[in-house]
Amino acid sequence: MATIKLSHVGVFNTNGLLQFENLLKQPLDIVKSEVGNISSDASLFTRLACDIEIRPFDTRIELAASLYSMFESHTVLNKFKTDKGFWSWLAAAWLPTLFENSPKSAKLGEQARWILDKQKAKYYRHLLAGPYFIYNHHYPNPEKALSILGGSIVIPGELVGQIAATSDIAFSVGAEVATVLYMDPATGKPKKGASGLGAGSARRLSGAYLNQIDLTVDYRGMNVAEILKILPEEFSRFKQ
Amino acid sequence: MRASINQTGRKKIPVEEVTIELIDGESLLFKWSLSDTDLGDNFEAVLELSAIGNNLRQIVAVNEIPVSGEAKILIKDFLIPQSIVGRFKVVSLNKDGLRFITRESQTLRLKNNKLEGEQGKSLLDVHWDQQLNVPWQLIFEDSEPILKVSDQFENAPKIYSHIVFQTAILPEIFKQITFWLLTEDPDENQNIKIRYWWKLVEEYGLTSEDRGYFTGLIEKDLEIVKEIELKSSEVADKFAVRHKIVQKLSNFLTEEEA
Repeated sequence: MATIKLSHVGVFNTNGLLQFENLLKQPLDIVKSEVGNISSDASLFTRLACDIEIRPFDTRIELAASLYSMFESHTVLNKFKTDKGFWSWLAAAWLPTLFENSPKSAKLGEQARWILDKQKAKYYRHLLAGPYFIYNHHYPNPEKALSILGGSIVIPGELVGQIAATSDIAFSVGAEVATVLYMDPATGKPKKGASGLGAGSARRLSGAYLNQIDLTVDYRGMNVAEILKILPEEFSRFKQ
Repeated sequence: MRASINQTGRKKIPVEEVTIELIDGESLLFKWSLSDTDLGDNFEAVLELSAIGNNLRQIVAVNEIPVSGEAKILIKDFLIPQSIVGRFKVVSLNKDGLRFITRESQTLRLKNNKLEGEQGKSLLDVHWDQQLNVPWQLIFEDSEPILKVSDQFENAPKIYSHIVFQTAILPEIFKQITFWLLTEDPDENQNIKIRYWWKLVEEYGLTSEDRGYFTGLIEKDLEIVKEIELKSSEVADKFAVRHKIVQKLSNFLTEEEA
């Protein structure tokens, strides 16, 4: 799909959100073909003048960089940074493009991926706002959080599920520790064994280690090297 | 209050000794008044703020700390300041880089945030009304819940600050607000307070699926209304449990009898 240039973004009103919610209950093919009717129906959203480009990206970090640039260029959008109607409209406008180069296994998934749900346990799941919040927090060094920004947009992967789910880790040095451990610097992709339940996996890092030592050790005040030094033996294979 | 020590050896800083409150959308005030300032030789006192989309660490003091003080902390980068919770900890610094927590507070909630902090009091935004002949009434003017408390005998403050009102009436008010949200689905784009009400109700157990289901129904028959009423009761029950309503009422009655 070619780049789509728009001279506006939208903020869904209640009816717009409702229509989008209802559409998301339909099969993917129907959603892809009909979502444009909702995101372009002027009665369903408030229009904000803003030049944006909707184009395919391979990774969450590329998408987040584009969104970051959008906010930087259009300060009028700043007050919508956490607006449910805004992010949901943006997701609706972006939806067909996000599926453009995605694997066939890509699914619509739960509603929170498209309609921003501002509960602490869910907001990071939004496919646009989630990567943007992380990128924004780690800026100007967002690559330090590549463990939770490096994956595919529509299929974020288990690292996102494990690391981004705990905001104390995602928005601290914890994300950088996960990047050093689990991302292959040569390929920019997760190392084998990073996902899953095995020893030293991301699930073990978040649930069985960082969230545990957080009770007694102020690890968020330490640097990556200091944290790597105290990691248990099971993480050794990922340190290389 | 005497500091207690938990199972990991950290001393708990009593809850009344540290507070956080929003000054405005860009800054927050951290206040402390410590009963114990013997914190060792080599330490840092750290305030951590955590919110949806942001975290912040602020070193409040190094190696010595006044018994009491306050610090203004800039939070202009926070996406949702109202979602901030805090944690104050005293960290012992070791030569090998390890930072052991020796003292810490409970989770700090915004003192003046009606939604994140003391939820009960947010319901006491009283609208004075001389004509109100009942002790209290919940209305939904301008698409937001307003609690009217009768002032015809200048009794309103006594009523809404009374333990019986706060324990016996507030859960009912919370139930009515939940029922209103689920049946009316007010436009949160028109009134930002509605978003906060939804957030609050969701904190008390209303799932996004429940919300989507009930508000998504264009026509609500009697059966659906009963379902909504039941769901609203569940939310109100959780509100009552969280605020230890029964225990508070029971303690009050016991004291009255004594």
